[in-house]
Amino acid sequence: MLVEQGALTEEQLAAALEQHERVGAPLGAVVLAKGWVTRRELYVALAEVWGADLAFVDPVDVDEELARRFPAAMLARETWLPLRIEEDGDGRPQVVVATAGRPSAHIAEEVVQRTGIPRVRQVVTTDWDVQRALRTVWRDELVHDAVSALAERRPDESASTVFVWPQIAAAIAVVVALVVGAVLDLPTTLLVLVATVNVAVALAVGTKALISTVGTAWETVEQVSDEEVAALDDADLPIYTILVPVYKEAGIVGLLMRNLADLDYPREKLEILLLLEEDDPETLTAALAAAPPDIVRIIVVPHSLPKTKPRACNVGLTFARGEYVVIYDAEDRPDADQLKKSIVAFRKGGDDLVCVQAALNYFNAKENLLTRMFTLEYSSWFDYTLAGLDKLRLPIPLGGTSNHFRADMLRDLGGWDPYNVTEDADLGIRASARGHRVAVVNSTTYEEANMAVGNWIRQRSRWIKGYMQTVLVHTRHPWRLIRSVGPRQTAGFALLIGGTPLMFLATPWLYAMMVVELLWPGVMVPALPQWLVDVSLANLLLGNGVIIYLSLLAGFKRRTYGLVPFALLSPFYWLLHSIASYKALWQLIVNPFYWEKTNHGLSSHVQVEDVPELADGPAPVRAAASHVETVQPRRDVVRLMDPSAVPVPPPAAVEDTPGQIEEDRA
Amino acid sequence: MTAANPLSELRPDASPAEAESFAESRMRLATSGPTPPRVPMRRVLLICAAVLGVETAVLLATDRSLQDVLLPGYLILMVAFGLVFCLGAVTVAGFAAGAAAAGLVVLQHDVLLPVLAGAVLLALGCGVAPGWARVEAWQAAHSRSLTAEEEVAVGQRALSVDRSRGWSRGVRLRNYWRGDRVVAAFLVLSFHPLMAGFSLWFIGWTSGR
Repeated sequence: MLVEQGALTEEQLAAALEQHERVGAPLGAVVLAKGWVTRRELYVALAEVWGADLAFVDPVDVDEELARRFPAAMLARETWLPLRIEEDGDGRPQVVVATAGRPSAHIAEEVVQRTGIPRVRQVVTTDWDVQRALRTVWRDELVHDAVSALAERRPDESASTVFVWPQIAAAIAVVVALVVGAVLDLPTTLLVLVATVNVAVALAVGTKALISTVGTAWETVEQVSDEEVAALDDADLPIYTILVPVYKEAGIVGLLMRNLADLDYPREKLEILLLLEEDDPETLTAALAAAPPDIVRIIVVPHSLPKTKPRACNVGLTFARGEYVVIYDAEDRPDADQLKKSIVAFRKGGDDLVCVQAALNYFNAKENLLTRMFTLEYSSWFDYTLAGLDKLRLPIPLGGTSNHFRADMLRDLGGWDPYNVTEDADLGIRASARGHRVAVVNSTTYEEANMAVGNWIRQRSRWIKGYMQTVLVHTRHPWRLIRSVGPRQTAGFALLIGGTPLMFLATPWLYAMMVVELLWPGVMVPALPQWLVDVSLANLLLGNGVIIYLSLLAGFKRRTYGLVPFALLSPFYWLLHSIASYKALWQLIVNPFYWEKTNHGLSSHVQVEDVPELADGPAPVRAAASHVETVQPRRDVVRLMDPSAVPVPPPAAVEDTPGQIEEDRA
Repeated sequence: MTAANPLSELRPDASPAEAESFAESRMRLATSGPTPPRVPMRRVLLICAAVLGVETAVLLATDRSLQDVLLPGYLILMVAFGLVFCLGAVTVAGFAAGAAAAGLVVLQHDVLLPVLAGAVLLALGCGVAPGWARVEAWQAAHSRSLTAEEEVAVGQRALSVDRSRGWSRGVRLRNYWRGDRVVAAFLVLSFHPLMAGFSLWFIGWTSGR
């Protein structure tokens, strides 16, 4: 039909059919991706093939009272919406619905069930019209679901309540005991307090050292090999949704387009949702000015509190149509084959695997001292600690980005907790507690290391506060946690997630003890036994030794030897953590849900003027050289470098509806 | 122009021609299919355990003190894992070798300098060991992001590679050398004994005040 209309040539049709056969995407998605037809032309043709009227939906046309009978999440997934109730030719009421897929009996049944009106007229509209109307008419419901769904469905798993009464009672009991003990017997009380802190710090450091050493032993193990990626058939690949939450980062939207354009994945099966906030018109303007290809959908997240990244991601998850979902930050540069590696990891990982975490590392490691230290820390965490957690089958706290999910399981888990400021770490633990598994995959996303101390402290205080929130949430029912994940996993969680902030909080006090002991030997002996002073000093010394050593090893996985000598400065870097941890503790009490914004785009490596126009096509493949020859078939390289390959989205309802045959005819 | 060393870093002030040569070398490394040396760690551990068992049994049977038993034990572990680290490029073996060296220092304070000298030798060995070069090539082919210059060069180069000139046969010894690798290896090997030595000194100093 498109050929008859002159919208498509015979040659284009033949090429599109070939591509359709190769990647298994609907023909409509292919011709849209090629830019050969407009969305309007395609839907006009589809409406004719499906024998339905075509309507372009204006949100003001939607009957709000009728709309309230239909949940937004369902409509977003199925890409249709009720428009109005009208009278048919016989004067009987009928419901008009607009669908971006083929009119179906399922939609009619759903409408009849929810309205009680037996007559339904289905018209065809574009997927974008459906989503725009959903964002407008169902705005309050979307916000409510994004913010409150988890807190309402599973309040015990939500950080919306910071402290529960038993925790408050326990904290009060500890403080009272300390005060009373200090009054009655100060030396004994101090002994108990200092000894407890020392034991906790030693256990936390020891656990981290053990886990990281296990990870070090597996440093050359690949979870997914290049051969497994090469063996993937594009036709078998599912739709993949990329969520990119952005807030006040107008300058790097263009860069995001370039970075994601490098991904080796069929454009017809890729969906990028750019999640912008309503009160951030600058970024919206910049995003529109960057003229993103149709594969990128801009979703403006309605304003509400708490204004956090997980809230935006939950809204994005509602609109996500992919079988798999991943989060990237705006400045992220994922390895080109990361999506395919994740697919392989999921297929190998079993049904209980809910998330695959890729490694994060920094592309601006050598920018200054802070970026060097940050890179060493990240290398240690993602290359060794997470690998060790994976090997030991301990709960894995997810990293900020590049966590790939099975979308349906993520929805079952309740999505991200918008009240937790490290929603990723919390989700990893929650998944484990619910019997799911998180694994790591040997692919890397390169990010921008924080290069300013103030910015770093803001970011780090948020992370530490989030760890505190996560511990508070998951220790509300300790016995339940032990029963669900097991004692070893509970201990690993408590010592790694709980022990980390504790270690940072305790460190300045241990340093203070050391300084006092060095300057005034024996001055603490009346209050503390000498052996405890010695143990504290040894603990501090050993703890710093372990931290330095883990940082020393961190440079080896990626063979960034130039960073290794900087590991000797780790104790100073960890003192910065202590500053951030006290800020985090204060905020946990006075402003628990406040999201300390990290400024991105400060690095000279992400200057926007260097970004090529999207119209020029994706940038040259940034993946390692081997990917060019061994990981990707050559045609993929050509495709990636082909300006005509600028991605365009698939039509929403086409790929999963029976209308595909008709569409092919069109 | 000599062939660029693909195992080193590209100089920041490299010319476009050098960047191109570097990218070509990297590509050749990648496409020649390097694999990291696979040291059978299980076998190494079993052999070490067996040797230690025999050594312990023999020395205990001859009424030696615990220190006399432990000293050679630590020495065996240090040498074995040091060699695995140096020749096999197994990072965790460096950790084990360093820990064993620390044990030696704790037992016998005056061996710190000889231990450090040994660490220097092993680190120099790491500087030229082909095993490290192979791991780095494997890493370069799998996870290291390319610099902007490399991206440009890769993008401009044809993908055909003359495999007959594979790097493993043609690259000279100096091409394996990396000074930063030597420094890093020395730090890993010497950190534990230095830490042990410092701790002993610190304890002695504080108790002697």
